[in-house]
Amino acid sequence: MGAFFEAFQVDVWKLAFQVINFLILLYLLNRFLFKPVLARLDERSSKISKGLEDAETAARDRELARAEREAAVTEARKEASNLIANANKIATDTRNEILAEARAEAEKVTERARQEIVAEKDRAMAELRAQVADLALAAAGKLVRSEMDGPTQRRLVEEFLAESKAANGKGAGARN
Amino acid sequence: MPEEEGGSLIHVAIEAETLFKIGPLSFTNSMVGALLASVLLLLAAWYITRRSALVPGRLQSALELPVELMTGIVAGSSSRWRGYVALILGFFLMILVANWIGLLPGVGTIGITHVDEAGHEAMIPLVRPASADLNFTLGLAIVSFVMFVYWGIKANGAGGYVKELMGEPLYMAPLMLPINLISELSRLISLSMRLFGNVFAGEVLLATMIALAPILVPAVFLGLEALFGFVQALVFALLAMTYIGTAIAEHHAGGDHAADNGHATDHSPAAEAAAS
Repeated sequence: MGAFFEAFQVDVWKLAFQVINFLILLYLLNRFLFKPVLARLDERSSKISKGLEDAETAARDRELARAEREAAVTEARKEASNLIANANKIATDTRNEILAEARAEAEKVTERARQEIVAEKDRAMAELRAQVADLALAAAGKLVRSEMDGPTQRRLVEEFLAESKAANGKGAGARN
Repeated sequence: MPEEEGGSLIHVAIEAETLFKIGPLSFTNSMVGALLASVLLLLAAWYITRRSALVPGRLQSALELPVELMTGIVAGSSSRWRGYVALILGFFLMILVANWIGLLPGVGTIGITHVDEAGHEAMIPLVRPASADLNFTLGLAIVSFVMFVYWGIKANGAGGYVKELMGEPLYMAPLMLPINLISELSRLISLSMRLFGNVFAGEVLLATMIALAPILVPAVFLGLEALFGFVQALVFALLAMTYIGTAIAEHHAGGDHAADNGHATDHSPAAEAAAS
């Protein structure tokens, strides 16, 4: 062992020199190189992972927004079809209402017309009846005149007039 | 490149050569290499963190790349990776730079002429890649050994660590204890000798190639050595990581135990394969 170390000129001093040199170097490198570089690597990797995370979040948000938009569109479509259905219903109802009203009106008009016709007919009948009476009277008059004309009839008429005048004057005088 | 009178053209000393002495303490050219590597690393660290932007510039990201790469690997090894990531990064960067210093022009070729007692004149290079010195590699291996023992004791308690060394059926302890002890200690040797052997061999190979064909051919081997230097740094760091990862994971009750163990064993075959 001794001879081996002799051959390679290994001794405690040289060994210690190398070890101490290395340890000092290690201390300095660790302090001034490794720690800052490792910190930077950590920072970089955390930045990268944060970037990835952000991208993922953005993708998720986009997906969410798309779903929302789709839902809104579906909602709007449903709303629109509802509106249309409502409008249709209202239109149908209105039409039915109007039709019913028109029908009622027509019926009323018809009824009134019928009543007028009936009334007219009654009036016409009454008038006819009066005329017929007149005609009958005239015919009867004619018949009667031919029987009693001249002084007899005149006297009869004058007597009648006088009677009615007297009755009138009496009545009026009593009243006055 | 050292020259030796009458000797072979190629000479790379197996041991780090002493440049000067202060009292009993000798200062070697591999110490210069280690210091140079440290200074280069600190300069790079200063440059990176000087004005560190979240979105880095080209040079900054190129310098940050090895740190990020290793952090990514270490982070997969265990859930408690933050405790030892600095150590693994330190191993990797220090060994990488120490290895690559051997490829710089002038390293190994610029030196002081030294005349020994026998009158032989030899050139001693001023700088030697630190990892071509067993002191450096053994020192780092000792640090890693201490750390994985420390983590093992921290994760399982001192009793748990000893129990682990004694093996599963307790009656096998007399057999298993020495085996496990040797296995633990062999990690020390394998870590240090593998790195030293590779880098030293690389230095010898480069010196040989430069001596044989000074033009163009060494460029190929320089490229290869750059690759080997990277691989060896990676292997050392990953093995240290695996040892610590298994030390934490073993007998560690809880849900993340399986995950820890899985990751640790995931890495070890790759690391062992790269080592061989």
